[in-house]
Amino acid sequence: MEFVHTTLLKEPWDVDRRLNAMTLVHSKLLQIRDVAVNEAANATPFHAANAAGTFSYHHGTWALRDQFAGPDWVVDRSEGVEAIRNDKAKIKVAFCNVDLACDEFHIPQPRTKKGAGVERATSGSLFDDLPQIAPKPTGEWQFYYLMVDECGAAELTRPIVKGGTFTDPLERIFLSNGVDDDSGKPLEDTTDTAIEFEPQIARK
Amino acid sequence: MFNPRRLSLARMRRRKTARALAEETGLAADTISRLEAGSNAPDETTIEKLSKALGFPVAFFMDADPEDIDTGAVSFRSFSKMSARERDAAISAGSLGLQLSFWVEAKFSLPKPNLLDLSYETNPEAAAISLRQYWGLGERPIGNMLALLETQGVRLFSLSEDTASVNAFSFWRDDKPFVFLNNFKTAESSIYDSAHELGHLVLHKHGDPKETRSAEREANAFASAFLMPAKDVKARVRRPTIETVLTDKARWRVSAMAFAYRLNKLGLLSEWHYKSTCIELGKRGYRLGEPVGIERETSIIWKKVLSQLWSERTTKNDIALSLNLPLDELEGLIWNLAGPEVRPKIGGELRAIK
Repeated sequence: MEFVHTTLLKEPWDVDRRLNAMTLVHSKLLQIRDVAVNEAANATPFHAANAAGTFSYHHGTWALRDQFAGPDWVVDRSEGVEAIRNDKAKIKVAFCNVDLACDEFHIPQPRTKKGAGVERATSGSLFDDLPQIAPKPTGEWQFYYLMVDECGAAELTRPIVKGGTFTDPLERIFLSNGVDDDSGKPLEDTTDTAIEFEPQIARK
Repeated sequence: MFNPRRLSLARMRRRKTARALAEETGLAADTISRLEAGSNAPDETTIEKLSKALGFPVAFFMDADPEDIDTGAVSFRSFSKMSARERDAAISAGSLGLQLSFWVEAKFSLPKPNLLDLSYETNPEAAAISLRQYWGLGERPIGNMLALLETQGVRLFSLSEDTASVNAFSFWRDDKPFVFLNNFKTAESSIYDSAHELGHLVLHKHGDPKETRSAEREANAFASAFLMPAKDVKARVRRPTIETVLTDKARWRVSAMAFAYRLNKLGLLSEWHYKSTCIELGKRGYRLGEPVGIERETSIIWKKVLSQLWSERTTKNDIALSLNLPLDELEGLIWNLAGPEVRPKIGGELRAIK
């Protein structure tokens, strides 16, 4: 079994260079995040208990295709995984709700158990977690998840799926910690309490 | 050089007629009219008299032209009860507010306006949902309406009109939304007023919002839906009684009357039940006030601006001086909104000097 070094990109210039190489656009990925988080906020006690996550997943998946479907990217449903794929770059991207994104000391965990189809798509291995290196994927496709947590933190990550959850991220690209400085967008409260705001000003 | 338009502005702001000002200054009423028309230029003694009678510094009358507000484009709340004099006074406060706003924006970067133009939307309920979606609020209640407006780039000022006739007004200027709120009302009423003005800003941006009953109804419906989203209310309120109305209203931070009205509109209170609820609320004092109310919301931006200026040793007197405004006018525009605690600690611990 071959191993590869894992990578973590969090500086804006590294992130944007890598995304350009993948024919993905940072701002569009954040728009998908916004759609997903906004839709999750529509859940009320009359909805099913998992409504927030369901709304987020369905609309996040829709927004992913809405933003990227075109000459480069097409809708992909192989292995029962709802994604988009780029045949030229051999990349697939799907949307996923996770517990915590953009924390380099924590591997994001999906909020819903992943199935065998995803495990195959991400080229899983039988090896245990390793901190700096990961099993070299065997398939020709690179499978990424746009991972969004409840606070709006988002990362584009190429995980290995094993036992229904994420292990050994081969590559993590941090997109936003949930506070986008220039958007003026308020922080989302994750509980069912009233939403508070903190407008920012700066001395010229 | 004396600016006649500033004399008109100060007179309107003080709600004085030309005749009343003439009597107070010992000048002829015709003289006041000619001064305001710019046909006569006053001497120093006359300017002093005008300054004293109106309570505006002499320098105020020598400044550049005041910022005009197109009265036709201003959305007033409770316009029907307002006299022309009250309306002119409020508009004049708006003009002074603009002057203060330009002063602050020259020194601070404030949040950029981020409102939707929903003037195409004929259903205020749908407009409220659209704006909530756009801002990512979903169905959840808003913890601080003023902070939300400020976060989305609305410029807020207080309206120190000690009258219930002028509740609030709003207008667009240079693609920036301005809202002036009366601080003499209950906290819940002010929240509702601010949502009402938000309704005008997004629903009537390009229209002529001259006070029409339909524009008022639309803004009210918008405010009601924006503050109390239908799905959230329906999911939380069961068989409302007078007691549950009084406890549940706290979730959405609205008045008991506004909450009861919303419950009726959503079909959760029958007509008969709604009427009897209103009568009972009236008996308990909820028609004129909010006996068990919430704490008044204050402006976070004004607090931050004033704290920063204070830390630079700039006091409210300094601000008033640089704007050539009387202190009471400046305080009227912001101090009620900023709350009492705007003075931060300066410096740190004391150090011994060797």
